[in-house]
Amino acid sequence: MSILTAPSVTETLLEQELERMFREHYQLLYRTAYSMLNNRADAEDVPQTLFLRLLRRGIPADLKTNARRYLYRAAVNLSLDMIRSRKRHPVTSGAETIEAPFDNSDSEFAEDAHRRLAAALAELHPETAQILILRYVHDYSDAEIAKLLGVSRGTMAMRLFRSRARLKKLMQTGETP
Amino acid sequence: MKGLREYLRQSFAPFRALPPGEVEPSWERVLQRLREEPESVGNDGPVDSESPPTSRRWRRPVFVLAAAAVVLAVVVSATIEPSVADGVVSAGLLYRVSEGKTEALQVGQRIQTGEVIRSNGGKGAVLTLADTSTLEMRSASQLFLARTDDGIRIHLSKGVILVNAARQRTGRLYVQTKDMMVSVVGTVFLVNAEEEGSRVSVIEGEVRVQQGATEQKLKRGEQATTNPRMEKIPVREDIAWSRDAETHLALLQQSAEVVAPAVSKRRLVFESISIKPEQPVAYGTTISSGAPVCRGSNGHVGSSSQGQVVPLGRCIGRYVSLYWLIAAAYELSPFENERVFLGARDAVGRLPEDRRWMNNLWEHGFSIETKAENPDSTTTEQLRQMLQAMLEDRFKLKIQRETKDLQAYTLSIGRGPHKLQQASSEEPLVTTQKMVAGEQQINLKGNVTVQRFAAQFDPYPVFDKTDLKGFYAFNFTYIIPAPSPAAADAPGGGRGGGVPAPGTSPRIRALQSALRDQLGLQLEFGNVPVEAVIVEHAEKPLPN
Repeated sequence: MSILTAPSVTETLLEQELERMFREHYQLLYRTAYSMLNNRADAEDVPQTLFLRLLRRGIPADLKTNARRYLYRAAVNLSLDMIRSRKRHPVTSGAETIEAPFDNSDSEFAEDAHRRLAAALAELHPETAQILILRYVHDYSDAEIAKLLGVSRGTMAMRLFRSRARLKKLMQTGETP
Repeated sequence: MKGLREYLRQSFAPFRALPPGEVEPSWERVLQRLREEPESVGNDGPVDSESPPTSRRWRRPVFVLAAAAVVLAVVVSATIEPSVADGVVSAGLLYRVSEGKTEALQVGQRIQTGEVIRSNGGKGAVLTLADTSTLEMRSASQLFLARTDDGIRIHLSKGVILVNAARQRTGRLYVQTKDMMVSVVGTVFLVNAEEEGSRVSVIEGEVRVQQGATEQKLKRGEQATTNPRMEKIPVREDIAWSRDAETHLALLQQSAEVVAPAVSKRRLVFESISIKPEQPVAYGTTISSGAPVCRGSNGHVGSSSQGQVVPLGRCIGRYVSLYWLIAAAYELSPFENERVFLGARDAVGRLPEDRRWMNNLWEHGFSIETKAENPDSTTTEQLRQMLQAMLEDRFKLKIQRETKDLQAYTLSIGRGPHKLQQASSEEPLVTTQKMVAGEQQINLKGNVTVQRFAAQFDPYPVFDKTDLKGFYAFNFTYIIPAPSPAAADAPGGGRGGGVPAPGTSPRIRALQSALRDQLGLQLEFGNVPVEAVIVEHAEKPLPN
């Protein structure tokens, strides 16, 4: 008679389900986080931290209802928290930025521009940041954004308009720290 | 504003061209962090999707609350946490299994979390947990205990346990098997973990059973299995082995549902099935079928095309894809495309190569003809169940079910009584359209169910929430006014934007007023919980 060993924690149903979700939505979460944090290690950290928390806390009802919407929103929120955390504890070295398709002479400018943009995003309402990232990073149409975020197209168009206006004000008036 | 748009496009351009992230090592890293990091490291915040992250405005109060929560957590953990999931052998003989060795445990001996415990022959044994919950283990059962954030988790790897859960003061008690999780706050229930799946029987109270993304509640006397092939047996028989069988039986007899409702339910199958692959045709060729049509004694499943007559008790179809078979068998219409998940799609919306046959009716369509054993008396619901059995047997279909919210329109009865006239028999719904002075007049006429009627509002299918059964005589006309020059640019008025929001589409406005005036029905927009099916596995059937 063979001796049975304890079921591994990694074999549990919760983990299987979360692993499936992780694989399905990883690229969306990773790209979202990268666009906001401009750092590969931090970008990888966002989906990892999200799923680490889910593994420990279980699957909330909202995640079951619409996993993509829930995870995307959570990734943006977590990235915004990390941007704010950076402002409190600025990283001065070790940051790996992506190879931007700008001239080398412009790369410093591009990095600085992104830093200012990220700081401005952090001042926006998270929902606003969610819309902007979907539009300008993921190239989503109005209808696709509305569908993912669960709002009507009219509402979404109005929010997008307002979010650009708010962002413009933040960038122009130097409200960003 | 245009300058800002350009600025945003340029600033985010590098991220649109990012190479894909590496999923595999990243998931490995999650598991590594799960094992290595103390809980507070990865768990220092909620998995926060809805509420905004910590903002500058709220930082101080949130900090104060967080600090209070930490203090509270420390106090609570200091007073309650130690040995909360530990157990004591209170009856019978158990064995601790460690590194291939077994050690007998006598009554009174303690069991720590993480220790693998097994009951061998005889009458099994009883464990008492620190919270006074008792676990009666049937012979040849094996489990271990674990603590969770909010309670105790019993990992049952095989065998049967009967749990008398003490009312949990702060959290829940969970029982986990390889394919489901049961959670309770205080009740009596039985869990059976077998090779082919798991079964839960509730003796008293209520439990929640989670299988994949699907969760259901079970009440006293009810039973659920994770695998349809698993035999459902009366709950009273399921508990007969227990030392306290009489007590549990007495609890059960307070309920009328002593026998699991599904016990008498026979698996319905077709008497004959013919499935043959169709000759491939050029991709995109117009095909007059695609979905199967079944005719039951009380109506149709699917709608026949070109006046095709389907004999009673049969399902037939040409160039039928697996996708449409699933939609018919599990009643996933309307919005099939959002309710049948054949697999993860790539950036351009393609399924993985080994799954593309599932919805490619041009190259992988089937000719299908089935017949029920009693064709004259078989209902549409029974035909659906037979289709499900056929998919399991012939296509080796394995699915997970889940409930999801769709944004869609629903049809319900308005404030007053409805104005529908019942019909004695079914007559196909005929739709005619004509243009009169720039207005589009659409008429739907026939004797059909409200569900079928509602599904005809192309291109925005509507869910029937009237609860009206049977056939009704429809002669319904709605008129879409001529579009104004500005309407083409109105949000939601164009094509390809999904379901339009209320008030934004002339067609919807016309439908709403006509339904209200002519039929006393109400067309509303909102979230609609619907059932969806995720295909885990399917194979092409052998032809016959």
